[in-house]
Amino acid sequence: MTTAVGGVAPPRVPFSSRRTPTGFGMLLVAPVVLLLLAIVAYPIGYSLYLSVMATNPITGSQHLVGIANFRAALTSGDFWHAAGLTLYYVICVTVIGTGVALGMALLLRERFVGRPVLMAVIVLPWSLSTYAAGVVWRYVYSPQYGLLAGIAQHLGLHPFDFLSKQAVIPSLAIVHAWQFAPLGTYFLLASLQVIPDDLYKLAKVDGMGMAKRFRNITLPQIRMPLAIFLVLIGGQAATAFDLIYFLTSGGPGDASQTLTYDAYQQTFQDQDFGGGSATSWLLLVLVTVVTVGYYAVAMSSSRRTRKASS
Amino acid sequence: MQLTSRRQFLKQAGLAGLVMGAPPLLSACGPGRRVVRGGKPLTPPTAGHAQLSMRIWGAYPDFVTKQVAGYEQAYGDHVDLGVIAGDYPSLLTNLLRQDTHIDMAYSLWHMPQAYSEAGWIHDYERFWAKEDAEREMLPAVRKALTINGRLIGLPYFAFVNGALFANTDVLRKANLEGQYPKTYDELYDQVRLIKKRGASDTPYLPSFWSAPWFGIPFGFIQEALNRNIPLFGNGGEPLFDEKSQVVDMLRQWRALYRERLVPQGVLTFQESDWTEAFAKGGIAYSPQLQYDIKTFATPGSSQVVGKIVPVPQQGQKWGMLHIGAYLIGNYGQSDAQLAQAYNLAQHFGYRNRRTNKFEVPTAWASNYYLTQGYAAVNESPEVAAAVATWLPDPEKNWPVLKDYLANPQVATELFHTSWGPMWMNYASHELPKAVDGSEDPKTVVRNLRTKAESLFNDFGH
Repeated sequence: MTTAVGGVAPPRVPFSSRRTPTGFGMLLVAPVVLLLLAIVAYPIGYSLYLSVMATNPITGSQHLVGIANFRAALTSGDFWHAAGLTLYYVICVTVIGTGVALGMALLLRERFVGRPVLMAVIVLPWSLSTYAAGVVWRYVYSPQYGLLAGIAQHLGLHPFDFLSKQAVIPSLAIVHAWQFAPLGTYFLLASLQVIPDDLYKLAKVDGMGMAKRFRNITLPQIRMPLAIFLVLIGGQAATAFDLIYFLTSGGPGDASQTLTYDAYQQTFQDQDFGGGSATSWLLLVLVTVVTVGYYAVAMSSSRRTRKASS
Repeated sequence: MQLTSRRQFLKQAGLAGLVMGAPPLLSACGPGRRVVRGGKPLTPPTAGHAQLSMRIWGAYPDFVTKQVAGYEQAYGDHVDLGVIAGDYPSLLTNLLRQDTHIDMAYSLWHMPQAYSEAGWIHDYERFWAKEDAEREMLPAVRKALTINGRLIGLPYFAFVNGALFANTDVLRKANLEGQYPKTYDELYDQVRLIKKRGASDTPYLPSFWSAPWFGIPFGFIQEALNRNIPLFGNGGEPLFDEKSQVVDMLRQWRALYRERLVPQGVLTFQESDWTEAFAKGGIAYSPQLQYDIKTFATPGSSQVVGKIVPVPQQGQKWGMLHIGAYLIGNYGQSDAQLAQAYNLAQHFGYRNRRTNKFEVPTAWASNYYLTQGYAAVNESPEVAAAVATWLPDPEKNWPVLKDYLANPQVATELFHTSWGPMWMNYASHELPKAVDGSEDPKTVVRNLRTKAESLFNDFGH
C-alpha cells in the first residue's frame, strides 16, 4: 500500500517506464524467444548434433563420427536419386502452380458475371487439409475407380495409371499446385489491381498487343510479388512430405522418394538418426541455394527494369 | 538509459539457449537401454483408481472405447485411450524410446524383438496367468510371441495374412467354378486363362501394395515361405541370393504386371484400396485379410456379396501367420503399476479376470472376424453364428478358413530379428522395381541380400 506524504500521492510510474527501452522490449519478446528456442532452435541444434553422431537405435549409445554421415549421403546413389526427384518435383510444382496462379489472377482482374463467386471458390483447395486433398485425389487418380478412369472409360479409352513411376511426380505436382495456387492468385491479384487501367488503354492506343502489354506493363508491376511467391512455392515443394506420404508413400518403389521423404524414412523407419539428420541438412542447403537463386534472379531483373525505366 | 548492445544480446541469448538445450542433449548422449526387472509373479491388483495409458491404431476406435469403458467400470481404473494416426510402427517406436508413459499398446509381432532388446517393454513373465494363457494359446502364436524364452505379448489378433480368396462369380464366367489352384504356378496359369476367356480384365490382385503396413514385403515373404524357398536362417542370416528361386518368383510377378493381369495402380495402393478393389468385383483371386469377409458380405461396401470364398489349401499353403499383440511399456513403473497394466492386458488379451471368460477377444472375433490367438475363441458358438452370416455356404467354407489358422507357416527367422522391420521397409521400396521393370529381378534380389547382410552385421540376430 502506498502512503501519501502531505496528502499528495506520488505520481504513479508505469511499469514500462521503470525499465530501459531495450529491457522492456526484451521482456516483451522473451516469451516468443523462449518458444522459438524450444521449437525451432533446439530441434535444429539437436539435428545438427545427431548428424555428426552414430546412434545405435536399440542401445541408444552414440559416438562422434564427424562428417561421415554427410559423406555417406553424398556418395550414395539413393541420395542423388532423391535429390534429382526433389528438383524435378520443385520445377513441376513451381511451373504449374505459378502458371495457374498467374492465369487465375489475370482472369480475376477482369470484371465479369460470377467473379465474386469464383473468387470465393478458388480459395477452397487452399483451405483443405493436405490429408483431405490426398484422399480426394486418390479417388481422382485411381485407375480402378477414379474419376479420370471413369471419364476415360466413357470415352472408350484405357484408364491411365497417374501414379505409375513415369507419371507420379507430375501427378503429385498437380495436386500440390492445385492446393498452393490460390495463395499465389490472391498474392498476384493484389498487385494487379493497383495497376491503373489507363496504362493499358494508352498501350492499346500505342498499338501494343496482349503479349507486349503483359511484358511491359503487367510483369514489371508483379515482379516482386511473383518472386516472393516463387520462393514460397519452391521452398514448400522442396520440403513437401505429407502429400507424398498420403498419396504414394514414396512409391511406386522409390519413384516419388524426394529428399524430405528420404530423410523421414531414414530417421523414423530405418532408425538411422545420423543419416536422416545429415540428409535434412543437405536438403536445407539445397532449399537455401534455390531460394537465394530465385531472389537473385528476381532482384537483378527488377534492377534492370528500374534502370531501363529511369 | 542503458541500452544493451547487439553483441551482449546475442551472448545472453546464446547462453540461455545453451542452458535450455544442454540437459536434453546430455541425456541423449547417455545409455538408452532400460533394465527390465525380473522377479516373482505379481498378484492381481485389488484396489482401483489406477491411471493407465493405452495406445492403439485406428481400427474401430469406437469399439475399443466401449471395451475400455467396460474395463473402467469393472475395475474402477481410468484408462487414457489414445489413437496413434499415421505411421504407427515408427511413432510407437519413438514413443517407447522416449520413456513415454504407455502401459499397453498394440503392436505387430515383428516389432517387439527390438523393443525387448532395448528394454522398452516388459515381458509377461511376472503375469499371474501367464502359464494358463500360454497353455490356451495356439502353439504357433505362443511361439511367435515368445522371444528369448520369454512371453512378450498377449495376442490382440491372429490370422493368416495372404489367405487366398476367390470370387465365384468370375470363376463361373470363366467356366472354372470349383477348380481351385493348388500352387502359385497353377494360380498364375489360371489367371491367364481367366483373362483369355474374357471373364476378367485383371483377374488377380496380389499383395503388391505399398508401405507403411508392409504389403509387398509380406507378399514376398509369404510366397517364398509357401513355395518353400528359404529366405533367412534360424540366426537371421540371409540364405537367398541371385541363384535363389526367388529370382524366378519375381520374374513371375513382373510377367503378371506386364501382361496386365493385375490392376496397374496396385504398386501405390493402400490397404483400403486393396480391399475396395476386390470388393468392387471383377477380380478372380486375391490374397486378402481374413477379417474382410465381413466387408465383402456387407452390401453397402461390397458388390460381391455372397460370392467371396476362401480357396482350400491342397498341399501348398497360402499366406503366413500374422499376429497383433498387446505390449506393456517399460517407463520405470513400480510393481504395483505393472500389475495394473497386466490387469488391463488380461482384460483385452485373455480371459476377463472377474468372469473368467474371453470377453474382449470373443467380441473382436464375433463382431469383425478378427480371429484370436486362442482356439476356444475362434471356434466358439458366437463366432460360428457370426461367420454364418458372412460366408456363403458356411458349412463348407468355414472349415476352409479354420484350416488356414490350424497350422500356418511362420516367418519367425526374420520376425525375431531386431532389424526385420528395417529390412522390410527397404524391401517395400525395392521389390516394386522388379515388378514394374525399373530393375532386373536379379539386381533387386542382390540388393535385398546386401541390405540383409549389412543389417545382420550391424545388429546381429
